[in-house]
Parts: sequence; C-alpha cells; structure tokens
Amino acid sequence: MMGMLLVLPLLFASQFKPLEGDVAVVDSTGRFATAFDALVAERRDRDRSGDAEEVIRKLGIDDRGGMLSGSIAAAAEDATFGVVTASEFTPDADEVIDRLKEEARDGRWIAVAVIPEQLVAAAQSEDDNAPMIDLFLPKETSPRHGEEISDLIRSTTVRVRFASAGEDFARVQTMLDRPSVDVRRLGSEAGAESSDSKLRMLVPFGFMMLLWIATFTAGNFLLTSTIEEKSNKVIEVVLSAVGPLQLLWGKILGLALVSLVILITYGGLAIAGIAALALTELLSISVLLWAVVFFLIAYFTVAALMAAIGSAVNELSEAQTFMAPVMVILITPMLLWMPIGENPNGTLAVVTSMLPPILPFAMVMRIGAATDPVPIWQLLLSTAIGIVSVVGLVWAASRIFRVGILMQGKPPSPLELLRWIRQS
Amino acid sequence: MSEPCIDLSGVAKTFGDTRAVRDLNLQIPSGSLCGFLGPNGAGKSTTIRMIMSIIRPDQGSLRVLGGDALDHKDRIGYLPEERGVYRKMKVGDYLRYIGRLKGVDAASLRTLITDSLERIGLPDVEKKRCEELSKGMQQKVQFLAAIIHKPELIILDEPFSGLDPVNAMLLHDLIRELHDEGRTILFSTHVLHQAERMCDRIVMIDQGTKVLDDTLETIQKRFDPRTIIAEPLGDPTAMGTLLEGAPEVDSIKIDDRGRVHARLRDDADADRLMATALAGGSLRSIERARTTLDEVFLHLVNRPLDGAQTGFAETTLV
Repeated sequence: MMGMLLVLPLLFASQFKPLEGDVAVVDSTGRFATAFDALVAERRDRDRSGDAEEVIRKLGIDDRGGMLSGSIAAAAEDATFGVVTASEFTPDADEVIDRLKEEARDGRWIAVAVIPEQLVAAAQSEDDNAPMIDLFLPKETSPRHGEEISDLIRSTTVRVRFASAGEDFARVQTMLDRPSVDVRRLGSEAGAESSDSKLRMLVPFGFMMLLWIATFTAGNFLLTSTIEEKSNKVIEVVLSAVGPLQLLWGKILGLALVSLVILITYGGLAIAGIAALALTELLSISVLLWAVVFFLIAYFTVAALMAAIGSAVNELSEAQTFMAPVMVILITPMLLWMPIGENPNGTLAVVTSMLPPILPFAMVMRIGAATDPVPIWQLLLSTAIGIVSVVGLVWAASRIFRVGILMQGKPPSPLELLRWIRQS
Repeated sequence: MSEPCIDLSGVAKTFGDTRAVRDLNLQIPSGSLCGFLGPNGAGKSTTIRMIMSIIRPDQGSLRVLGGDALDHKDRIGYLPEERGVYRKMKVGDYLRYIGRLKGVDAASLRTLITDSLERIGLPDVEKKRCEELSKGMQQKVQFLAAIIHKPELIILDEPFSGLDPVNAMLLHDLIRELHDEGRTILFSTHVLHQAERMCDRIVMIDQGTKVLDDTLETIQKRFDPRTIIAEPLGDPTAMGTLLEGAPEVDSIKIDDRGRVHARLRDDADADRLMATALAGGSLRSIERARTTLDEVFLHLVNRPLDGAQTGFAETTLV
C-alpha cells in the first residue's frame, strides 16, 4: 500500500508524452545552446533516480538494495524529458525571427525563444522594467510542454548569466545547496534512538483507515442484509425460527468475524510492508493489542447503528434519513487525522478520544502516532467510556430492532424511534 | 380430550388507536384441521403473529404446545402472510438454511429437500435462484420451508392467496395429507368455501372479536336455513300462493330466477311441505336450502349479501 502511494504520482506523470524536439534560441551570447543541453542532461539524470532516492530518504525508509528506488525510477523513466536540444541563432536581423516562427509552424522547432541581451548581461540593472523573454510555441503545444520549455529557458538564462560573469555555475550551486538534516528521536532508554520519518504521519492514518474500512464494510453488510430481509418479507419466516434478539446478535457477531477478517487481511499486509521496510519500531505489540480493543468498540458502535437503521426502514433509500449519526463517524476521523497526527496528546486529541461515538477512531490515531505514548489512564478511561457507550447503543438498537423489524409502511421519525427505545 | 394445542384466553392487542384483537378466547384441539376465517383486517394475522410470539399480546394469556411458541419453534411450522425468499439464494440453499434454523440435521435435509420439491411438482428448481421462480412457484417453496422440519403444529396464514386452481388443489391435498398424519393445522383464509371443503373446525373473527368457533358439522346443523326452494316449470306466483297457504310455512319469497323460497315454521315437517309442493304442479327442482359459510358469516356480522335468502332460523344448541 505504501509503495502504491509513492509510485502512483509518478505513474500519473507518465501519462504525459515526454517533451522532445529542438528549440530555436535567438540570443547574442552564443553560450545558450550549450548551457541548455547541459541543463536538460542534468535534469534527465536526476529524474531517472535522484527524485525517487530523495523521496525515499526523506520518508526514512531503509531501501536496502535499492529495490524501491529502482522500481520507481523505472516507472519514471519516460516521465519527463525526451531528447530536447537547442539551436542558436544570432539576432542580426528581424527576418531571422520571422523565418524561425514560420519554421516552427511547419514543425521544425518545438519553440522559438528570443532572449533580450540585457537578461544575460554580466551586470544586471536594478531596473524594474527588465525586458522579458519572448517565447513562441506552435498552437498545438500542450500547456504542460509549454511550461517545461519555459522553465528550461528561464533556468538556462540564469546559468548563462553566471557564465557571462565568469563564474563556475556548478560551484555556485554547491554553495547554495541547503544541507539535509538527519533527525533522530530519542527513545525512553539510552541508545534507543530511532530515525525520524515522515511515515510517522501515515501510521495513525493507516490505523484509522483500517478501522474505518473494516467496520464500515461489515456495517454496510449488516444494513443491507437487514433491509433485504425486511423488504423481501423473508423476515417473518426467519423470525418463526429464531427470536428477534437472536437474529440481531447472530448478525452482529457473524459480521464481527467478517470485519475481523478484513482487518487482519489489510492490517497484515500493512504490517508485512512495514516489516519489509524495517520500520518495525513504529509499532509495538501493545499498540496492536490496544488497536484490537478499539476496533471492537468501533465495530459494535457502527453495527448497532446500522442494525437499528436497517430495521427501522423498508428500503435503502429511506435509510438516508437516519444516516446523520453514521456520517459523523464517517467524516470526523478524516478531519481529525492531521491535528491528531501532529499533536497526538493535545487537548483536541484527548477530548475526541473520550467522546463516543468517534472515540475509537480518535484513539487509534493517537496510539498509532506513538511519538509520545498515550497515558495508560487515558487508554483505560477511553475503553471504559467506549464499553459503556457500546452497551447503551446495542441496548437501544435491540429495542429498535425488535419493534422495527416487523414494521411495514411509513418509516418512523427519529422521535418515534426514541419512543420505541423507551417502551418495553 | 388432551390439553389443547393452542390455548388463548382473554387475549387483546391494540396498535395505536386500532383495537386489532379484543378479548379473544380460542382453543384448538390437537389433531384438528382448523380454518381461521374473517374478512380482511379482522385480526387474523395479528392473532397468528401472537400465537407465534412474533408480537406480544397487551393482555391475556397464550399457550402454544403448553408453553411459549419460541420455546417450541422446532415443533411449529409457520407460513406468514407477508412471505418472501432470499432472492439471490438458490432454492436448495434457502430450504437448507431454514431447515437448519429449525434444527433439522444437514444429512437428512439433503434427501428431504429433493424429495419434497418433487412432491410439490418442482423437481428441477433446487439449483435455481429463488428470483428465477414464478410467484406461484415461490409460494410453494415457502410452504415447503414452513413444513420442512415436519412440525406437529402447522400455522398457515392465507396459504391459498395467489395460487392458481391447479396449485390450490395441490396445496389442498398436501394439507389434507398433513392432517391425516395427525398434525394440528390452523390456517387462515378469507375465501370461505375453501375452508368449508377442508376443515373439521371453523373459527371466525370479525373486528377483533370471535363470532363463531365450532366444528363444521355443528355449524351446519345450527345454521340450517330451514327453507325449501322449489323451482316450478310454470308460474312462480301460483306456486308461491300455494305454498303460502300451507300450514308449515312461515313466509314466502320469490327470487329473480323464479324460485320460490318457503321458510318453515319452527318444528314444522319439511317433508310434508315438499310433498305439498310436488302435488301442486310440475317442478324443475326442489331442495332443502343448504347453508354456506359465506352466509353464516354474513349473518353473524350482520351484513346480508344482496339477494341472499332470508335469515336463518338459528337454533341454539347448548
């Protein structure tokens, strides 16, 4: 999954045809074409491997054997530049430009660039009204290629300036390069330092997504199967064999196993991926165990809601009316990802992880963030609140289920649902 | 007689402002084939659902097989009025699922399903999905699902609705078969002549109240119309005048088909009147009027059918 996240943008980039062809440059220095070709060559090399390596280094992944960067580079192979060259023309007469433009129309050039002399002069004027480069593109040039050509021309202009001033551009570039930083987290014990990683932000997100997918896939089954049994009128046949609460619990427990299978499948893949990238210090057994506890709370919360809604309505379309509480659970965790990921023990994180029904989602993000372990009393308190709220929800859902499952006709209003819960 | 199979006393159920069932007492003896009759909305399905413990009565006590239906679910077969199947499920799988829920073991289910499907004239549907069947075929599959576990008490809510005459006949035979095996059967219908043909016991309810509960034989005796219907070849008025003069006759009515209905006085001899009629001229037909459940029902709920015969001389049998 992580690999996909990295490779996908590059795959998208490869959707574009690489830029290829000859650019006609009209300038007076005579240094432009060489500088341009050198720049293109440099960029191409960097794209082949440099980008991928840098991304991987930044994420803090131990890419042993270059397995990851190699494959990304391969995917990026055709992504950007093809063979792009520049041919130089001296601006001795106006006809040169007109002739070049005509040739560009016929496809000889992919672009015609006219560089004003002041722009490449060694001494730069402070004048605000500095002249601009004229760039002529055939009308069929794609916007992206236009951007690329324009970028190349501008960067080359800077290089030519240095060359005109007699400086070695490579040396200047080295001097301007900002050094990179190797961040290390100090563990609770001496010597237990770990390299910092941007993946730290992805772990809580991954935890939350796993929980989210597992509970809502199963919850959706619960909703649709209950509605199906109701709208197909098969429910009374089933109810002649089992009691309504037996049916409800059968559904909830059966789908809990489905949900668990989903969790284990995706979670197992993610853990395998993390292990393969030698990032195991991001996870610990206790974190995983707590994740299971909060998974159960999340599942029963979602299942109780879905069962109640499914039994109250006759058709899936009617269920929309009651989806508001479900939407809260669906959307809030998404909004909380960034703030909790950045500050897993902040006030927002503490409060939301005590607040049913979103508590399990907020809490797994906190324990997943792991920069600073969640205090044990908070974990226990959150679990206790979670269990109490789940017991309450399941109790209310079973009340609604028992009445609603045989109800036909107009779906009840939320107020009627409350009355169903109150009456025995 | 042993303890009744179904025993309701003082059962009432109210939905909002509607009193669906009020103060219903009902005993169904074991082994009977009982028709549960009443017009639409009389409270039949509500009563049946209460018997099945699907809904709970507001008042009264209710015993099924000596306890709560939920405790004996494996001994009861139930075909609800609102019935359906899992549309995407195969017929065989559906019957297996219901059978397993009802506690039949998987091994015996295998042959049971094939055999019973054959019995109801659907030998090739086991591997078909339920949605591929016609509505009538689905009905038969549902009936099978209700009796797949060979229950001792079978409750069928409107089992004949939606069946063509051929399939209705098949179902009739199946129900008689189950009855002959000694199972107790209660089925509801609003098609009264269906019940008349099959049942040995009739319960009628109207507006949530029981209006009749007896064996068919007793009902026929009790609701004997005590009327002679004579159809003369000649002038009906002449025959009418003749019969009106007879000492046995209470009143005379001539219907639009030219038949003379002569209502007998209490303890008058019907044979004597028939002899009088025969002597009075050529007849196309003469008969003692028979009671039908339709008439009994209409009489009981005080809604006479248009063109119906005169009221019954109800003899109270204690």
